[in-house]
Amino acid sequence: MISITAPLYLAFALFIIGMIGVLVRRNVLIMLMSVELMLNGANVALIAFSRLWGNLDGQVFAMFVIAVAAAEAAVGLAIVVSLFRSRASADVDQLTVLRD
Amino acid sequence: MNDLLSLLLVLPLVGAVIVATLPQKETNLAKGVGLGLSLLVFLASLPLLTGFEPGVAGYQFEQNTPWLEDFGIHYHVGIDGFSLWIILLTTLLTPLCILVGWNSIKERGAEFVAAMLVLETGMIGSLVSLDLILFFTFWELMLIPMLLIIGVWGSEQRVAASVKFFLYTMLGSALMLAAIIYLAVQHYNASDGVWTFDLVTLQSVVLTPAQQMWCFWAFAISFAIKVPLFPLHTWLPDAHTQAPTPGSVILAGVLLKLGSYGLIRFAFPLFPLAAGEWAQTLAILAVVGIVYGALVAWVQTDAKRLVAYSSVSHMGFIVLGVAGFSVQGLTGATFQSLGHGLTTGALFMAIGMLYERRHTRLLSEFGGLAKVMPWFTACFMIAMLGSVGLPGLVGFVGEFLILVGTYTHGGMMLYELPVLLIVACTGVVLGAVYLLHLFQKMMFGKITHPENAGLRDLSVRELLCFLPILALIVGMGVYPKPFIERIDPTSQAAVEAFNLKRCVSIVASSNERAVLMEDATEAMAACATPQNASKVIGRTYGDTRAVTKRRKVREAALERAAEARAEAEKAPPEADIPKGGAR
Amino acid sequence: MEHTLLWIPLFPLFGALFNLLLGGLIARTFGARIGKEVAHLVAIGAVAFSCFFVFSLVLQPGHGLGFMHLLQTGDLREIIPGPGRSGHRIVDQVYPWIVSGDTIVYFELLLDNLSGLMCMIITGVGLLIHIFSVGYMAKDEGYHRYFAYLNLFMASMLILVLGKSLVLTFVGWEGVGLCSYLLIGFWFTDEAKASAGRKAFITNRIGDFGVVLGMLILFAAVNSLDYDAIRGACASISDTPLLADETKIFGITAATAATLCIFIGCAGKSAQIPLYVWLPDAMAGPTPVSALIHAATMVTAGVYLCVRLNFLFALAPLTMAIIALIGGITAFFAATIAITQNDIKKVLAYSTVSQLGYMFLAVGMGAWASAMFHVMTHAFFKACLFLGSGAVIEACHHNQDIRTMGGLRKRMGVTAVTFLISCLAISGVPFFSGFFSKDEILLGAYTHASAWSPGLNYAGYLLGMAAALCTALYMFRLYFLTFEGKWRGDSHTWEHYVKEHWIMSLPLVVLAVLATFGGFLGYPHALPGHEQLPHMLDAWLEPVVEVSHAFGGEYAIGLRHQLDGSPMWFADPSGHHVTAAAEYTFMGISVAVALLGIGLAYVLYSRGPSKAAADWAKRFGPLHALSKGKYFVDELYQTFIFTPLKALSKVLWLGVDNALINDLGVHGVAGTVGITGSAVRSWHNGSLRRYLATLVFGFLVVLGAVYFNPRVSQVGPNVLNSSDPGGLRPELGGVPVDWGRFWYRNADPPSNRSRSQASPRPGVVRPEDPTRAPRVAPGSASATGAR
Repeated sequence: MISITAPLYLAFALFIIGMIGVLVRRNVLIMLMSVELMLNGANVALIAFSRLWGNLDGQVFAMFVIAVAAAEAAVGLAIVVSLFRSRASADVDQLTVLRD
Repeated sequence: MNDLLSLLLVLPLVGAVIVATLPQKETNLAKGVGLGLSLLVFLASLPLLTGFEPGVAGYQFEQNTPWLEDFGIHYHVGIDGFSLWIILLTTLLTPLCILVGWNSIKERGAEFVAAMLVLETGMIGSLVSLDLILFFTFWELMLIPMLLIIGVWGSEQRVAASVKFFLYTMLGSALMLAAIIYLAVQHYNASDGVWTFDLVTLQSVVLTPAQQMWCFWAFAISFAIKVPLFPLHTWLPDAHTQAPTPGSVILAGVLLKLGSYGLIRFAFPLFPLAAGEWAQTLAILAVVGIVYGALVAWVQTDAKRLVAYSSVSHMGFIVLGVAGFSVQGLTGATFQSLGHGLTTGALFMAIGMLYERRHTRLLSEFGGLAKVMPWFTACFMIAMLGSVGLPGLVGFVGEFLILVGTYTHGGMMLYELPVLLIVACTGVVLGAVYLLHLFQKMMFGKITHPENAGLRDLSVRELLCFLPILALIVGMGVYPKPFIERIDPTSQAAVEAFNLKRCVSIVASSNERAVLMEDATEAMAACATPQNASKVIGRTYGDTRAVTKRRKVREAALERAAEARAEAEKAPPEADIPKGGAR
Repeated sequence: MEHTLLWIPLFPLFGALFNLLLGGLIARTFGARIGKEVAHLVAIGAVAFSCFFVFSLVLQPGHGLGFMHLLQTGDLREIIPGPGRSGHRIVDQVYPWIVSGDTIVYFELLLDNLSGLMCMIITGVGLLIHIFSVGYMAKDEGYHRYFAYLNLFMASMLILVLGKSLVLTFVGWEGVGLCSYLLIGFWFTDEAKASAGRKAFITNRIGDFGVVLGMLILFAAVNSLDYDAIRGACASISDTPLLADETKIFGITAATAATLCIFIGCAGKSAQIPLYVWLPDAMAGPTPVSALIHAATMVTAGVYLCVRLNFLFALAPLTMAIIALIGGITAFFAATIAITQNDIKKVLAYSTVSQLGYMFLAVGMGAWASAMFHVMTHAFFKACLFLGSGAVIEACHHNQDIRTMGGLRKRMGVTAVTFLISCLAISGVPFFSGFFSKDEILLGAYTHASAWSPGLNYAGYLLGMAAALCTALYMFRLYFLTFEGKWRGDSHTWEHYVKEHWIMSLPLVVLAVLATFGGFLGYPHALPGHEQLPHMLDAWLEPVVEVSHAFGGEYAIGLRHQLDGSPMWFADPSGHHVTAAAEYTFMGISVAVALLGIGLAYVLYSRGPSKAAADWAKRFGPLHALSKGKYFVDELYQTFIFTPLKALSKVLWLGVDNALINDLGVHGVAGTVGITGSAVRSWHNGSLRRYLATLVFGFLVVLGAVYFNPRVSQVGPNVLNSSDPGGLRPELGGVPVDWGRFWYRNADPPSNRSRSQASPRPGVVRPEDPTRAPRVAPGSASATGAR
């Protein structure tokens, strides 16, 4: 018997790994990938609770997230590529235009 | 006919869109189209006048359709005596403003005209809205075009002035929005879950004294900034000085009036108990503003700044009239709003025309203009005299009504009336001081600057701008009846409703929560008639009205007469002492 | 209703509009000469029409005010009824002007005996002065503007006197002030003249401030500003609201307060201390204007208003005492200044102030008819004097200094003779008009007493007598220095003087005749022939003042013997008139004083400024300097009122408005926001990772706050309203979920709680009502996550 804690631990771990990745890495590409990881962590949690309550809303939501994540990855990658073209670097620490 | 108000709201907006889509370079075309459209709006507003029933107090041309039903927000518009004339003033001044800015607005003419038209919608909308959210929407809508007009087409320090204007007004708006929502929530609670923002329905919510105080001040500060009341006035001189001439005219002519209008329409009737409690503060600030504005105006070196400070002084009179909340005071305040809009508008126009010619507003740069510009001088003089309050011109009627109303009927709202009015009346003297100073510095004396010798007199276009305003300045002073008779019933009804709600608030002041008036049966019974309501208020606050005094005098005389009669019956006459013989 | 009276002010108003709007156009199209012809014909025509209207209305027997009847019988009482009966008054209700609430002000005109008298003076003298102006202003380029202003003035002045309510009078009151402003500053290119106009307007405005306050007080007490209504309220002393305790203001009765305020206005308009300072400066305007506005008509408006409200003033003994005192002091004070002035118009200006003082002395003593009598005679002789001085100034090429004149009688005979007649009249030489009116005032001053301060009448009488001495002295000094002796100016002017023109001489002659014989309208009772020539003015004004007479005798003002109970030696036993013997005595004193003044002037000035005069000036050095410097009142006002006020305004502007409110207040708030902003600004360095870290940190903080705050975790209507406590923290009692069973289907309800229900779908655990599920789920998640 697996309690609900197991998938939640998994979700938690995925999320934290992703978060650390976003916070620590400087390459935009890696950051994007880490974001995907976080989203997947959330997805796991959604599905786990969906199973717990016997309510399919959570799974539907997870499907949405996956779809959006795909779109996001496409747009994000496009932005990264264009960034790389204009700056010849994918280092976020050099992207401080927002400051002004 | 019922859609007339909606037409007035939509027409300028449509016009703005049309003008904005015109080709960029065709400035004159844009101005022409804008002028035509605003004239059309003016013509469309004339049926308001003909269709308005003079003796009726309630809202007319009313229209009420749901807008955001879930929150009880309606598109509810209508006009009464308070708003009728200011709407007409707005529709009159807008074409004149476009006309007066014909030459001075050289760049981005289309955008300018569009901004003016959107502003017109905002102003009319604020005046006709009977739903608080709708009102707030238009109130904010007004702000942006005005910000642009000052910020884009103004003088040297236009950006600072426009930001100051914007921030000041936003501060007030934020407070007001909070109070609006709070009031609606209180209504929701008191009525067991009915959402409404309708002014007429919200009238029936009787808040507790503390709630009234907070809400009243939120509203009052918002409107006091707009008026502007001392010491919240410092945005006005900057805004007026930096704004282009049409901006100054519309600012002085209509925008400031919305402050006093808001006090009359919202702040006082919705929270009468707090209004009665704090009217004295407003009145003192108003009276201080009258003297202060006049004195400061006197030492200005910039003609536009001088007139701007004179607005502070004049608007003080209007707020005094509102604070007394008497029939004559309200009528006078509304009338004076029109008068001040016309006279000050004309003065700003005149100074703007000079600025167009000389590109300076400094008094020291002028002098002796009467010789070279006689027609200009004449127009300026009529506007100035109207502003001074010369009887027979528009300023006097309003001031007279305000003073008389406040003095004889203001005793339920204000105390120490003689002191207040003596100080207020010094404004009569000081008004003459600074305006004649202005007039003399500009018009009289020898021509000290050779540039002034060649100034041309008014063109036909400029004369056309002046003519309707001057005609109204004279006409309204000589024959104010058509104006007053449409305002007065509304004032009477407003005072009555105010007293009723104030009385109910007093009786129900120990309530822990807000209640609806119809639920407070006990309080309603105590305030059943206007006389009862006055009595309750008088007992609580002390009634120092002249009316009451007169009644006491009459009663005392009757008593004396009765005593004398009794005396005479008791003791038969011994000898008829001839009058005056014994002394 | 026919608007008969409306036409009286309307004619001049139309004239003014015509000249203002079309005058320039006509002059440009048809040439300057025709332009001028049209301008003055229109202006004079308009005034002539009003004049004709007024005289026909007043004199028309039967329909008018019965002046003809008065001339025949000398007694008006039978045809002019008292209160309650409608008399021969003409009321013209034009339209309701201001109607709001219980405030009702009609535009309503009233022609009764008082306004009829004033209208005759205004239109009559005004017509003559219009005619004179044709000559005087002939070469001026602002010709049509001048006549327009003059006509506008006539219209305003007529509204002032015809107005039936105080408000309407105030309309005219301000209107004449405006016209005075425009006409004083007529030659506006001269800064000093424009300033004089402004000074006049502002000083008048100070007075108007009083009138407005007075109107308010009156309205509060009476609820109307109609003269008839006020009269009705004053009619009975016992229950008038004006004296009641309830209407008191600052502890004084409404009547006193209102009259004091109104008197401030009268002092402004009629140039009494302390507001007289504008009148001497007003001489900057064209001389006919000085004659019309600043001598004959406008400046007497204050007296008119007091007499119009006589019933009200009679209720206020304190005000009456103050008026009498101020009148007496002004009469003397201004007369002393006039002695040493060298500008021909300044002398006349101070003389006007002094004569107005006489009128207020009479008003303050309750001698209403005498005040009006003096208004009338003064209009005649002072207009004549001013017009004469205008002719002199014209002849001397606009030189006004009498030290450089002399001997002009040889050059301008008509002017000299009319001037002399007017001087005799104003000095009070018997049988000229001024003698009768001034004597009546002095007699009234002596015999009437103030209830407020007994003995005041003696002070008034002495001041009046002293002023009379000065009057005779300065008038004949003026006459001798101007017309007698030798010419002291440059020979060029003497050779090329401007000759008298009939159009300027005609008004002078007419006015001189009036100045000579006008006094017989108020022929004293004591003199022989009284039966044939009664005191017409007394009878004429009786209906106007009868209310105040009715109770004035016992309350505020009265003959002395009525006050102290002891009949004085001069009192007629009937109590109404003083004895003939007493009148003769007072006349004798007056005449002696006048002759003394004239003699003194003759000795000192008959052959130009003599050495004796210089010696006298030296002997009274400081006094002479004071008088010559006009007691330095202007300088005092400048130092103690104007300058501090201006400084205060500067302080308010720069100190309060700019520094305190704007910099400290508005910019202070803005600055605080700015400082805070720049303090936290360094955090926003644009690094995405920094932002994200902040985001995570913030999220954790919020989560922690929610988790550790029991209040937050309990919020929500479901929690409060149901027996189920719910919430985020399990120890507070949450939804019982069996966390262990996850992958197994369980047919049984997951708990033994009675509220939980079986799942509608078998095999799926539904621990709670499905609608509430989303609310519970996140709470459980966080609880689990933290475990």
